[in-house]
Amino acid sequence: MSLRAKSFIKRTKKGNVIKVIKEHYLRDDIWCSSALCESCNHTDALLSATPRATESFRTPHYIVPDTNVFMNQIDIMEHPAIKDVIVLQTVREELRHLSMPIYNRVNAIVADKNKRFYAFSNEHHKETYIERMKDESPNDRNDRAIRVSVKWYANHLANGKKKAPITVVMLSDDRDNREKAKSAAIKCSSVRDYVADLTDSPELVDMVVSAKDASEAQAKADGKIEYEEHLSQVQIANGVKNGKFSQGTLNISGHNYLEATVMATVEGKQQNVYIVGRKNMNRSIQGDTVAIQVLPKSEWKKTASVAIEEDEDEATEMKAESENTDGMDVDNALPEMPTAKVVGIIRKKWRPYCGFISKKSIHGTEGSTSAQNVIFRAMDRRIPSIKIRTTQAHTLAGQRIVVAIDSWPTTSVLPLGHFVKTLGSSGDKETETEVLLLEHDVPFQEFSKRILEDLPAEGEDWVVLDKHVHNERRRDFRHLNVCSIDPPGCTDIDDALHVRALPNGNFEVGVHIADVTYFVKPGMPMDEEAAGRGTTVYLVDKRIDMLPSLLGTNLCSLRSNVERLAFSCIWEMNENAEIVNVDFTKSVIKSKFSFTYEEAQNRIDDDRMQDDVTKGIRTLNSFAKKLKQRRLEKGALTLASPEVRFNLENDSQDPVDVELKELKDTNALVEEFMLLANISVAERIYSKFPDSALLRRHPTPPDSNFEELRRALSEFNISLETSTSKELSDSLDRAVIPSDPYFNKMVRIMTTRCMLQAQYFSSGTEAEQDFRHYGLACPIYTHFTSPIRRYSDVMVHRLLEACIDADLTYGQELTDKMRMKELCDNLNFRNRMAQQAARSSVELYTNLFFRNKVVEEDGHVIRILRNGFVVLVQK
Amino acid sequence: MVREADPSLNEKQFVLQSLKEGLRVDGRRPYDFRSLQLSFHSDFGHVQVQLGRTRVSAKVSAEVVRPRADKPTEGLLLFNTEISPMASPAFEVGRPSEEEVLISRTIEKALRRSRAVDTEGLCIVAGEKVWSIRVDLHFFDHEGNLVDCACIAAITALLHFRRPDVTVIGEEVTIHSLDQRNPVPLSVHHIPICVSFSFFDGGELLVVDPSILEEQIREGDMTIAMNIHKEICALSKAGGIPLEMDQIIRCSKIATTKTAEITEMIQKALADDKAKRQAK
Amino acid sequence: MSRLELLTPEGLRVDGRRPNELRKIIAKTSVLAQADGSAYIEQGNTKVLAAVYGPQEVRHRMQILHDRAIINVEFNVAPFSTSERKKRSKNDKYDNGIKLQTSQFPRSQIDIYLQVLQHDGGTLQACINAATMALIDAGIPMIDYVCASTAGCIDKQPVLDLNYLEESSDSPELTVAILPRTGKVNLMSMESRLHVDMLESVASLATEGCEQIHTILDAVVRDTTQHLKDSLMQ
Repeated sequence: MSLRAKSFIKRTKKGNVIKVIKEHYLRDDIWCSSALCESCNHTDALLSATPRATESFRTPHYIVPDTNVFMNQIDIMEHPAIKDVIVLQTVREELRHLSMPIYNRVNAIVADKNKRFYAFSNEHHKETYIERMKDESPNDRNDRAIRVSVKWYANHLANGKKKAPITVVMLSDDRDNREKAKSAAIKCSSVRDYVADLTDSPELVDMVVSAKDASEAQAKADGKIEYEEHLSQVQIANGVKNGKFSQGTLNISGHNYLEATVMATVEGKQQNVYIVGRKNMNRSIQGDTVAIQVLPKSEWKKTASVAIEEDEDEATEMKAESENTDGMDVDNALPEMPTAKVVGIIRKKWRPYCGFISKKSIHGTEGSTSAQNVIFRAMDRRIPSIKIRTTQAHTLAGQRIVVAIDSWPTTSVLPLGHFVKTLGSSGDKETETEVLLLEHDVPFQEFSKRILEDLPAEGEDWVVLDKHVHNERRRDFRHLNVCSIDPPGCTDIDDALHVRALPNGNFEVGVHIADVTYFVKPGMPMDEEAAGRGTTVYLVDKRIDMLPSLLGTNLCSLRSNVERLAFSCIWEMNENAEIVNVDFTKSVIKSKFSFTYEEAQNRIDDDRMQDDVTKGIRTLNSFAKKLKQRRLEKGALTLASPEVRFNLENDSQDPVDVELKELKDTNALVEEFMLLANISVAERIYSKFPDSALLRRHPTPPDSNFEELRRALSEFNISLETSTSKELSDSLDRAVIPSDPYFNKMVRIMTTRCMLQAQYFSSGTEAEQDFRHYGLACPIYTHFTSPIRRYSDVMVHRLLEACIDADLTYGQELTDKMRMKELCDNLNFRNRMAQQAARSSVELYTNLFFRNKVVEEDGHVIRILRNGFVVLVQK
Repeated sequence: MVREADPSLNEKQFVLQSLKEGLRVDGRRPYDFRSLQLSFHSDFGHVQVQLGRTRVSAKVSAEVVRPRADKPTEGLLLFNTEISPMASPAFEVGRPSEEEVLISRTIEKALRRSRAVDTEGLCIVAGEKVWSIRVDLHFFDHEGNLVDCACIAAITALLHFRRPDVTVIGEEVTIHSLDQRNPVPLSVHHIPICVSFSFFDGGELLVVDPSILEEQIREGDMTIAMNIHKEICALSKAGGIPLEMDQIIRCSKIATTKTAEITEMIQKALADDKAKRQAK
Repeated sequence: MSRLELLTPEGLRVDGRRPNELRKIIAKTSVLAQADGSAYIEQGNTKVLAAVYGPQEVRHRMQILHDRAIINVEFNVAPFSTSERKKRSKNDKYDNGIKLQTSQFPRSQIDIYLQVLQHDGGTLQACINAATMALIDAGIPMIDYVCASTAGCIDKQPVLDLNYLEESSDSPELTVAILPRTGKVNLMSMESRLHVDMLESVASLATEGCEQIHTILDAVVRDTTQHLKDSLMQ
């Protein structure tokens, strides 16, 4: 073994300049790997004895491409016609620094023995290693190294004992390099000239990338982008004041992460302003409050939306972006939309994100634990990829992980972040559920000790005592035939009903709601926690409770044959279901039955059942129908949304079947009385707390929301009137195509999507005419009936209690409208998140259900994008 | 320095002779560990481990510190060993003995360098705030094989430990108190277990988990730290008599099975403790 | 950099060595005037200076061992030894497991001072080798040479004699010191995770390295002695 040691000095920059000394061994046992060579001791020669000869180079030869040939013409190099190539170490090292994807592709070719690409370690070969000369640039040195190696190969092969006529040809698109090679008597050619001679594969000529394109492609592949600096807070504040900038919340399109909208005032009109492309978004992230500057009209967006998913490969991603901008001129039919750029971020909305590491960005071999930069992609498609540095890239591959953003410098295409924790392997149900909870910011930790301490000390043994009846002015309804009707498997029963005939021929109808506020007092840690959670979140396989389950499913739950505290709303109604009188009271009840919808329905339908309870349900049912009729006449909407139910296999919780939720009469029965109770309560609390009543409104959707649907329906000659809910409701009834029974349902589903979100608000923050609930067509509304699973109802209970109990002392939490507003904002946010989480959970299970499954169903295309469409499948 | 009295020649011979017959003075077989007892204190991350009569307690604590400049996204993991004269007269207050240095180095090698604890997950805000996890090891009674006992104590304490939960929104950091939000466990990648060997009779005889008597008359020793995935996390054999390579390979095989046994015991103890806590 | 390729497809390492090759070794003895024995060794760019004083009178009487000599090892890393200057590391004590005929020198003390001048991976092995050379130079009787070598594992390929780059890439590193004549293992130390099934192959590669080092060191010693003899003869 012969070693020659050669130390050389290198300067690298790593914050500061340091001198690095590395050993560099030059060897004389690196073989040429030519099958013809006899002077080398290699076995298994890779390069064939009979390489190709061409028109211009009539001697059979091997090819030695330079770095740029691989950089720009990698497709050609991958072509099967190109064989017997020597890949120099110098070239590979340069490639590694220039572009990792190409470097990996080259390595793949080298590994493919049929391609006969030989990786020649010229830098470690005694005769081909060269020192960098004085004043020589590293590039020139590498070019020279390539030429030296080519020369060596030429001489080496010529000296082979067989004297076989074989040589090497250098490929380079750099004219200067070729000149120098020629002067050193090295055969060389440009790629274009060379492939022109390969007459058996004419397609190669078309694959040649011209040098200019190449440099552009390279710039794109490198993803060089520099962002504008953000303006200072003062500049932004001034700009917003004098109208130069607008501010709003950035909302990135779910279909295209390079397109965002900001609701802002432009040209005196509140409208959606588009922000297109990375540069214009200028490092802002979904949910950030940003300051924007509207671009000149010539740059306004004129194109339909395109669905773009962030590709794993940075290079193609960049291409996608450029295509997007190119595509701008294509579709001029659409009106121009105001477009802006982000000049500063007023409030950052960074949070930890769930996602996974892009497999392609991981390099190095399995098990290597050295630190490397990898690309993290968030589950939320609106979040840009995040660059993180980790030592556990390989362990983390295929895992769902959490990453936080640290910074986003102007010179970095992507934000920089750090690894926070692993959740588990992707595809795993539990992990994915955790991911969606985290993604929707659903607090799902177990209740802490401090909270659990607020539960009654008796625990499960807590019972209604006489003092509850006597000392708290509760009415005793324990003798009444109260019953509850809920979906099957429901354990948190928060409402129950009763009806009885009064001597005067009217009826007494009672809605009894679980008295949660008896247990949850203001200011308790449990109350704070519940306010923070806002709502119980229902997922397909899991429920995230707002209140500890001892309360939710036991002490508060109005279970049958147990005495429970309740908050009751008692109406006196005549037989036309018109309210004669209404009264609210705290009470004690003992529910006689807990029915499922189906059981209740069967009782109604079964004529043999003539007991009081069944008769009561029938009365309620007939009342409910009348109430509903009246509501619809007033213009309440019946919209549809596809709700899915999964049948889960018991053990594995794997979905075995999907079905749409079925609605029965009895569903409507309960719903009708709950609506009535909510309305009655809303009126009552508003009268006592004009400033701080917690109400719920559903704003009238702006006309523009319906535009798309209207355009679609006009194809069927169906018009849509939307100015009032009554008109909308009527036109929906008319939207029928006799041949397609599903059509009407579908229109209703799509109408649902045009609606605005219903919201909680504090009565003092809005004008009275804005209280309207559009969908229910009633002037005032609130939530009273589900205090176990909604915090809004807990609040309303407190407000109502303050209305009926003159002695009750209460603090600012009920009277301060700003505090109420803050609470409402949080509740709205939590509600939205809970809904989205539930939807994602359904999506997850849908995906699990359809995984590895092909099912044929009919569907309707409901939206067309430029490169995709959305289908609604009925079942 | 008070040197502990060496065992008498008779004692020495007795031990050796029995070993040759495959017996140990305390009645164990050569490859047996002594009985292992893990007891948890009421607060998280405080564990007392008793290996035979060797007793070590480990306490984990966490605080928020600024990360090191060269590793802005990594939390810190520190070990601190304290061997007081309580454990054995051979130890002195204040001055770390050679044995103590060796123990802490082995623990450090086994737990930190092998990246048993995920330090990246301890980052709160890169370059600003990270968790610093500190493991304090106290040695109460030295009946031989402090290293293994300390290692078990340290890793069990780390597994048992819960740090306060943190939320980061934008640039705002909130550290939740323990009663506000349930604290979160550390992410432990793997559980390295130290297994120590002592060699006698020119390296021909070997025992696992040496008692103090065996430690005093041994001719050589070796410690292998390994995890359940059969990965050697650290190995150190320094000084003592030279060994055949085969013997070392054999030791690594023994360590594999011992590691599996001990890991199972630790996990069971943790599971029991968890169940007990939930029952409360 | 993480993008570093530690093993090229053609089987060469970053510095051009093959997996089973040692770095270049230069060893010299008697490099210091004062010391009873001294040695200087270069293994690639790792450079270590060793000095041996003794056997001499024990400095602290308390430490006297009545049946053998005590050995005191001081190990120091020069602040300029790495490319980036670091704060002076504390005196690290390595028990290098040098095998001496200590019973020949009861109630005495042998001091070994080790100074790392330049650090490029494999400090421990270089120190052991340097100490061995210095002890031989001091004429202290030894059972045998103690030769040390490191071996690691890159991409499941056992590699010999890691340099700093390879060492810091988090590949497992096993240092083995053997007595070449019997082949018995005197010291073995490992960091980072290595699968137990790989241990045998990595250890045997390291042993092979030790034997190569032994040949080199032995040649140096014999050469020096020959030189000495020749100069005496003249």
